[in-house]
Amino acid sequence: MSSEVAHDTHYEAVLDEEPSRKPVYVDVVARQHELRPIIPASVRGWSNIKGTLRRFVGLNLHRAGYHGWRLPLVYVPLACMWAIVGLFKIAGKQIYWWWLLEQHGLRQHTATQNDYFGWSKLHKEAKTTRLTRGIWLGLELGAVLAVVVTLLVLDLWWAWALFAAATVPLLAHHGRPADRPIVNPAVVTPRFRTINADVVLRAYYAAGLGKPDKDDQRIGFGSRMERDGDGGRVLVDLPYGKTFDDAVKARGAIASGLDVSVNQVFLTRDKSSVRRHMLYVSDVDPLAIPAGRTPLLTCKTTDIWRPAPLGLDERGRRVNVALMWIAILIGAQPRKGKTFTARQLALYAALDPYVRITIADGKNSPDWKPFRLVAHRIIMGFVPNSFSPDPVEELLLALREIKRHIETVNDFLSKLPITECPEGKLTRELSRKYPQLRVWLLVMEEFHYYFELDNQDTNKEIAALLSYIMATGPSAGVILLSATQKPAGVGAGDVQRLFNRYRDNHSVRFALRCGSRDVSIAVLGGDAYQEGFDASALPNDEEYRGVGYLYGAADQTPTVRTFLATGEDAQKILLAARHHREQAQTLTGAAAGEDVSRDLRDVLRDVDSVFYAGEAWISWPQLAQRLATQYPEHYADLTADAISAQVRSLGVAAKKGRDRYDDNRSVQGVPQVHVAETLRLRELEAKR
Amino acid sequence: MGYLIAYSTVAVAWAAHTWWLSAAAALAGPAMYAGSCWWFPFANCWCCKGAGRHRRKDGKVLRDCRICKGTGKRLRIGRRIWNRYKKARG
Repeated sequence: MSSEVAHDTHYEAVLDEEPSRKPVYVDVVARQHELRPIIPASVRGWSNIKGTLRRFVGLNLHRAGYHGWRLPLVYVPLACMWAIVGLFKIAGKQIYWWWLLEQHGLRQHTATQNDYFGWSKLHKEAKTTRLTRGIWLGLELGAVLAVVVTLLVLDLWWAWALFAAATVPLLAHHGRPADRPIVNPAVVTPRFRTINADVVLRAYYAAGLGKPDKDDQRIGFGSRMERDGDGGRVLVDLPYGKTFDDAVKARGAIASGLDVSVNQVFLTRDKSSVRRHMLYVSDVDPLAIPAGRTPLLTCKTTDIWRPAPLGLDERGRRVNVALMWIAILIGAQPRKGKTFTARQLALYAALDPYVRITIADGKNSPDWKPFRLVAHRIIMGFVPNSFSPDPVEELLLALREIKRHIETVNDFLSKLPITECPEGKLTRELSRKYPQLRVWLLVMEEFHYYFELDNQDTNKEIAALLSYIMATGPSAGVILLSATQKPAGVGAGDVQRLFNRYRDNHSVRFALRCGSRDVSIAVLGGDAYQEGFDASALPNDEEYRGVGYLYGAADQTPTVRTFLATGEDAQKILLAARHHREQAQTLTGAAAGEDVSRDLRDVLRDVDSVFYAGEAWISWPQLAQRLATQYPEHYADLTADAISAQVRSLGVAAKKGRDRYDDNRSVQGVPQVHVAETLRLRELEAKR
Repeated sequence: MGYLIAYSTVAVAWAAHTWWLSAAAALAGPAMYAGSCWWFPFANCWCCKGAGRHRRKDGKVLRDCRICKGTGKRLRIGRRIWNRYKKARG
């Protein structure tokens, strides 16, 4: 029966799934409402208003100047010339209108077809129209004549001028050819070509990444073409079998297909699939536009706990580097902006009064000398020079000081109560409250020199200290900033191993243009090379100085154009930094005028001081004993051989003599005159 | 009337032994004829004299002129030549 039949077709069965309450968007462009600002940025804030006004006035002054001198010299003669042509053109147009010449073709057609009735009708119509139009033109001619006659009668120069000013532009506008305007704009707005799907497809097919005829070898799009800042971007799906590496290899071919420069094409890996990537094409070559001066020029105090500005990426967005807890390695060829970049980061640290800075510059260049104003310790070069009398020794002292600091910090933090230090980690408040917990920045510029010294023991000691600082420093608030142009092949054996370990343990890398792929791999690491970041492929021209890859600071690896801070800027910023430190009373070390040389073992002076009055000669054992007694903190375990080697290495000649403290035996020793002479020579050298 | 003027000018020019004036005058005639064909391509039918129809002798019946098909106009010869030329070209 019907009800049983109805059971077979059960209309209450669910045919489709219930739709979920939340809508599913076809194309997600933005996840939130975009609230455009009520007052645009150009008029928000007094400095912005000033800037906008300045730009507006500047633009219009430029226009006024541009058109101003062209008016009598170019525009007026051209206008007069074209006005004459315009007069004839207008007369011609009016005659055309009057004589109904548009009907001419129709009339001829009727005549050709031998159609008298059509022709006659048109002819009659034309006659009446010509009459009326002729009357109007006659009136117009009459008016013009009346004006001219009035002007002639009145004979006022300004009336003629007015007449000319009214008629000549009109006539000239009609007279000039359409493609040659008399007045050209003084300010031309730039126009950009947007990439569209056809162009991208053409580029990819031409690069060999797909085949349009084959179905499975087609290139697809994963997103719409969008405008992003100064360029356009789109997600591209390669055909199955092609990977991101193929796209990176074909970057030049893609750029050629898109008809842009290689620097304008950026390929970014997409996390969802290896055959999908983001293609970004910028309107102009972004790396050639300099990023500008550093924002630190405002000389305001900074906060090391906030990211430091480094530069602009290829999209024009700010790139910041969070300096806390990291060790950053900067590597490049010479003259590519390495020191400027490192100095910029150090300037940021200098402007924070609660950061101590130790600088070791292996190449003894003037770039870092201005840091004398704020640096706790500053060491130049690796051979004695006018700035640092004993740089290696000073470096060892500085590194040992940092090592002690790390130990102190860890110790101190562990002793603090939980209320102050909940996680046993250094925090901003703690760092500012306790002078023992200050953040410490260690700058090692051209640090490979310190691994290649003559004395292997010193090399090993420096390497060991740096390893220790690298391993334990960042968590204790010590930031390492190393810059080098020779990141590989330094040292031998153990020292090489330690150097490589020191280099590879930097967490953040910044590579400017490198000489070769191997150097790039040494600076950025092998993983970066696998991801397609080869610093030897960066452009080489002058305008591309300061462009580098920042790897390891974030998930993205932006191509950064660093901000510029010249020597004068550095001086200015450091003077302000010193002022901030004086106000915060955190000037320490060399900047505070501590005579660092007193901390050093000034061996010659100490030796000179242990000579008794009138004594002309001491033997080495006697000297060692005296030094151990008089300066136990420095010379406690001194042996005769050690002091002998040391004094002789400082340039003092030894001499045999009779040691009266040792049964008048004839032994080697040092005469006082030699010591005095060497001291005097050293003073003269220092003065020079 | 116009042709009279034109050809008298030719004669005058010929008499004056100026070759270019006489050539120009000689050309003026056909040029004027061509211009008038262009402007007024139709002339009166030779049969009905422009009326377009004929009346019977007693004035009661009207018959359309067979030649001009009732229009009363014919296409002038100059125009005909031009049309033919145009058709051949195009």
